[in-house]
Amino acid sequence: MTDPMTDPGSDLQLRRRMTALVDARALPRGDVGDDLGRGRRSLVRRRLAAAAGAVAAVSAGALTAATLAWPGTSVPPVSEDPDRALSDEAILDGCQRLGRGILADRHWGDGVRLLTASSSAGKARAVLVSGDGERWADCWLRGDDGTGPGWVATYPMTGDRPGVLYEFRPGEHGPDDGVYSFLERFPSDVASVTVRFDSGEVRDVPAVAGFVVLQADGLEPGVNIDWVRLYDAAGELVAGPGMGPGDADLPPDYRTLVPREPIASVGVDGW
Amino acid sequence: MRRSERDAEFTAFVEARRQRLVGAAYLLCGDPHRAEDLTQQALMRLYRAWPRVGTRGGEDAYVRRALVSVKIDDWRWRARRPETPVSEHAEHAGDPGATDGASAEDQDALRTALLQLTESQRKVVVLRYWLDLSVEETAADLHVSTGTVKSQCARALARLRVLLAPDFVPTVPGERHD
Repeated sequence: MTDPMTDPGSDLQLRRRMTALVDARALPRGDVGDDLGRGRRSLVRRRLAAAAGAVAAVSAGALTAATLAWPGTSVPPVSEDPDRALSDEAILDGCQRLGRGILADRHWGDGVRLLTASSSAGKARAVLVSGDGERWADCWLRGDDGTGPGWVATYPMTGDRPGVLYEFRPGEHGPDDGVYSFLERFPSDVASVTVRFDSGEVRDVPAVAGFVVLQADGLEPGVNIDWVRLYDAAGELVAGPGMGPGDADLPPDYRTLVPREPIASVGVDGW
Repeated sequence: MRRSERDAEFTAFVEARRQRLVGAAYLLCGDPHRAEDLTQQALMRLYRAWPRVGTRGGEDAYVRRALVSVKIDDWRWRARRPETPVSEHAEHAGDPGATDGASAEDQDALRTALLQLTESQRKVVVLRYWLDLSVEETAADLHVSTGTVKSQCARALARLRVLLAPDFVPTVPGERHD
């Protein structure tokens, strides 16, 4: 007969070890008031979106592969229509406001620019480059006023080599609205990417200096990337599934250049 | 339902359940910060759904399902600090009794072992042994059959036994686990 006191696979032992593990971790004690606030704001957003006919806008995704949206250039009015794609200036401004806590060091002075972005329905995923070019930031923006919800994370521009991270990154869904987005950095000779989802849908996305951003409304929940194909400026296939060690993988030189952990990150309202 | 009523009920619920839920999320994902994120998301969804679920006593099941419906292993949550080894936390815990006598190495081993289970197995284990659900309740939460829960559970426990004590030899093969 096994002894439940010593058998590591016994219910008793498992319960005791789980309790010990969780107790030892000193997990954050979240504030109930914050939970309530997040819930209320989430409910308000949901109602506003419904009132604005956001559902009808789901298929009206727009992609901006904008380069060189430097501060100081002519700035069109900031979008106030939640169904519209945000302007490049609104994205840059919103991301800077959202990330002001971490975009304040010597790298992020004057000259911060929006490298590329994908936006629809008042939401955006974008890549910012620091004034000195040594940092880049991944920005998820919901609304254009920089008060959130949203998230900004910064990374070094250099210091990572192709093939360092042998992973094939799937896309991500916003925790609240479920909007699918995909940000990836490939070597700079990659000029465009074709993404096929496991739902069968295929999207072509331009790459800017190797950065690829796709925010795709209307993809079903839980959808994931089936494969990606990378093309150079001449339209020649430079990497794709079956060209690496795994069927769905990419050759080591064309795998992600995004570090596993950011230098810094900031999230607002549950992000 | 009036907002004040909803807020009062929701607050009482969260105060009573939050830490247990964070613990479940941590056991599922292995990262304390991500566990907090998962819990916040689940509670946010619960608040929105409260009039539907809160008045019928379904709030526990709803928030559990919100927690386990996330594809934990596919969600690349990049913007978080690296996981701090358990032993570092344990050094500062200050209350040796709180760990139930388990060493930091034991805790690290369990966390690592849980992460080596399949996501489905991990969810079953956490629902069954952390949240103390019955096989039937677990099956309902995960939208699978009770047979699937039993088999996943048995495989998970067998795997944990191997991972946590490779030299342990049970004397009675086929021991029941549910």
